[in-house]
Amino acid sequence: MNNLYFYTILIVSLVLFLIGIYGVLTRRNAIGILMSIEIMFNSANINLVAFNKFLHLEASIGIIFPIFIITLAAAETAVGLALILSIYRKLKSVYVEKMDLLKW
Amino acid sequence: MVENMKLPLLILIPLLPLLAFVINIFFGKKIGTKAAYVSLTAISVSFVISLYLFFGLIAGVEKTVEYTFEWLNFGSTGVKLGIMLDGLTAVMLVVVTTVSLLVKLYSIGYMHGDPRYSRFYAYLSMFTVAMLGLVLANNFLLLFISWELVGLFSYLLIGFWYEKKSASDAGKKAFITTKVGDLGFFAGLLLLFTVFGTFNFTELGQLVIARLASGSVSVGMLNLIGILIFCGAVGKSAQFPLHVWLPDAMEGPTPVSALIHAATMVAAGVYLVARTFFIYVEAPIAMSVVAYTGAFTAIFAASMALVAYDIKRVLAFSTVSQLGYMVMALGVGGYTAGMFHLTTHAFFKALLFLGAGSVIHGSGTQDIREMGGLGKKMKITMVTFLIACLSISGVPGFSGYFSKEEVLSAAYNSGNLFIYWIGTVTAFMTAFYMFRLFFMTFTGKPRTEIHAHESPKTMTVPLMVLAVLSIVAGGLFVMGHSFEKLVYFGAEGAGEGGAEAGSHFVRNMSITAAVLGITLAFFMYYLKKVSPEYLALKLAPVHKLLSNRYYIDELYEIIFIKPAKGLGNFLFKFDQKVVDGAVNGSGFMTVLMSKLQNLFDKVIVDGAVNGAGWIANKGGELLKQLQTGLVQNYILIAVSGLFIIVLIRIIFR
Amino acid sequence: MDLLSIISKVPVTYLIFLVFAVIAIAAAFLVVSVKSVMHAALFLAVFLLSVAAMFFIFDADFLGIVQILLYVGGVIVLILFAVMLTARVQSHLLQQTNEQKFMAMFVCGLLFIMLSYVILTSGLQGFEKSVLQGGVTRDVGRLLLTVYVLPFEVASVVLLAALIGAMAIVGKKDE
Repeated sequence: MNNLYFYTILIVSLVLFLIGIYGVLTRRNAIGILMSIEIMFNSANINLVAFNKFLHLEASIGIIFPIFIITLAAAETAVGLALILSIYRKLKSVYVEKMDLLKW
Repeated sequence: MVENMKLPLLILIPLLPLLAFVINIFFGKKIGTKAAYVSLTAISVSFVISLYLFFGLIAGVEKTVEYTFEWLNFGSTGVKLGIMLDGLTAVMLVVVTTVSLLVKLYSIGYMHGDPRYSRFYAYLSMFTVAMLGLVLANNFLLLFISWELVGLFSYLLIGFWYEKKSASDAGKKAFITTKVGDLGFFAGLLLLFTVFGTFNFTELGQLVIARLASGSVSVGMLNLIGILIFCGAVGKSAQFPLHVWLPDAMEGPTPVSALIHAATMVAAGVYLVARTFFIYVEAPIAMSVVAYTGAFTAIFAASMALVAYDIKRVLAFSTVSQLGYMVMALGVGGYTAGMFHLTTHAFFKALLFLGAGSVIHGSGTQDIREMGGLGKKMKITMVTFLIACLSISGVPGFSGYFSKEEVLSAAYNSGNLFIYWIGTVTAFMTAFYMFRLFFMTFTGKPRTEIHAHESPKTMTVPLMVLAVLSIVAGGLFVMGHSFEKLVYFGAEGAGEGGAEAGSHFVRNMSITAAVLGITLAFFMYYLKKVSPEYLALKLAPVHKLLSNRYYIDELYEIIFIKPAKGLGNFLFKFDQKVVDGAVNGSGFMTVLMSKLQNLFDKVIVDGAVNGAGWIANKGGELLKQLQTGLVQNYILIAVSGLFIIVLIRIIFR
Repeated sequence: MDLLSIISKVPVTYLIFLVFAVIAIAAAFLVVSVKSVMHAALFLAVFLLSVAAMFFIFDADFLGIVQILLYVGGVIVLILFAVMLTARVQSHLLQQTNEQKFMAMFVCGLLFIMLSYVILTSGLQGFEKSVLQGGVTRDVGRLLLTVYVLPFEVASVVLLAALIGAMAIVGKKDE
């Protein structure tokens, strides 16, 4: 029973992760891409917490790591949004296909 | 004294000159000639502290102390650095700070008006720091670091007047020659650390005995380590065959010669052997190597001093010879005797050098053939120089007599009479060439038009202080055996004290040798009863050999420098003839071929090149479709890559 | 064995987890597919809240609180601001997904098959751990200030750097 529980969590987190990837790949809006990345972070966190609960790890390592991930995700969001706003001022757009200065 | 007060005091000794160095090197331009006072103040305080600790040790108030801290830690083994104070260190501290203080005082007059005045004082200070670090170190690593620092600053000081090519060459020669010895020293250190796993002297001293007893270290290994470490001493203390740098090093300013090449740096080699005496005691072969190298160097250098005409070179050879004496003393087990001679020698040799500097300063020449009769004009210099000469010759009552007699009785009591006789003959030669120098310089009639004048007070005061020290240093130490109490190695043989039987004989012999040497010089150079020129003519081959310094420099030229140059020349020739020929030939062939190819080129190659260009062009057109500039396209490809990687991982699980 | 007896053996936390999992997946899917970015941001909030709920279920109460405070309270607000600041060009009429939609779906599908294969054949044995005395929060606090104090401090420096960096990037005056 425990195994079923555990594997369900892992599959759910996998599904969420792939939804995140799908979002990153298809969203035209840069803010949307940022949101998809948040989804991916969270799926990883779910995984870590599940490991902490079900695999008998040393004291609460699976909790410490998500804390750092959340911290860094917040920093990443702040910088990412700042970049998006900065680009928006230049290009008057948040659509990533407009950001193609590296194109041939 | 309170225990925890001693560490700050000990650290202060090298720290103050270091501070002076920093001030002088960074603010030298601003403070100008005040640089001398900065250095002087620093070294004076160090000197006072050294004296305080020294007398504390003599009176038995102080005990040997050691402070260590961990510097590096590689898991199981670590490297600890630290400083220690024992009798040996205290003696060296006093010698170094005394001579350093007087030399710095003296340099105020001697270096007056030099454009790099403050730099000179900075170097002198840093040299003192390195030397103090060397004697304070309680482990091989710190000792080695200081050792190399000493080498570096001696290089800078010898080549201080680097505009003169001979000076910069001499600096390089000194540096490279001593490095040859240091290579051996370093190898010895590595070996030592591999075998014993520590650099600390005290621990090593116990480990050597313990390991030897348990049989985990062989005597052969100790011999090897001893000989390798002795290599370093050979380089620094200018022992044969690495003695060639010291005479050339006289190109540096005379105070430098006095500080480095008389009292401190060259003594570092002797100090090293003394410090590692616990190895040599257990390693008989290394011990004999030390003894014979010292004895040979002593007589070898003394013979060269007999015919030299440059006043500083005579002193340089004399230094090499006296260092040989000290090394020899250590080699025959006379630990105390060697260190005693080091101490007294430091004083009278510094006096000789500073006196020579005063003579050069006053007369403007270094060639003793151009001097003569200077005594009338330079009374203080003459009297102090005479005291030093009497001292180094071993005339009873002067400090050199006591230490030399101890060295000779150590040799005599060790039973190695061969070495003893070499020492006695050297003593005779020493007396002769010192008084030859004295008579030629200060007595008789002026040989050339020299307007000599007495040197300023800053130069004569150090001379007088050193003269007093040269007289009393020996007697003070012998009285009450205070030096022996201070510098004593437990496992010493019947070096001194015990065997009184030989001592009368030794004493008489050494006095005889000194008197004979002085008398001979008196007859030859003062009364001119025996013409030196006639003798030189009679013994022409010997004279030529000696005045050319046994052709050692030429020998090195042939053995080491010529082949190196030859190799360079050969490579140059090879380059010119073969490589250039090949290049030119291939150039010619290229021209020929290119004419042929021209035709071929136009038709086929151009076609191919154009074709390649066309292909590249079209391919680029095609491939640029991939470079969309859309980040998400790239990510998609990356994710597909992830898919492929995981797939491969699953398949080849 | 009938269905009822199976259900009765299932722990209640599992059922609650399943509920939130469904909510999370649905919300996440809406985040990546709805046309309005504003709506997407709101669905993201729902998703983050359900993840927080999952953390509570997995005995990571401290993490759940952090999730709510930081994500729902901070990140979502930040995103909403950004959405509103750039709202001039947002329109329901514009295509919100690009043309590689089907290719992306295909790749994600393949990855799903493969990674779930990896997970299911991993042979990991999960056993529910008994809850620590006083919850894991005490444990986490102790660890953060002892073993992980250096990363903890570094994280604070990173946050500060991100703060200043964000201000520097946005605050730059256009020429």
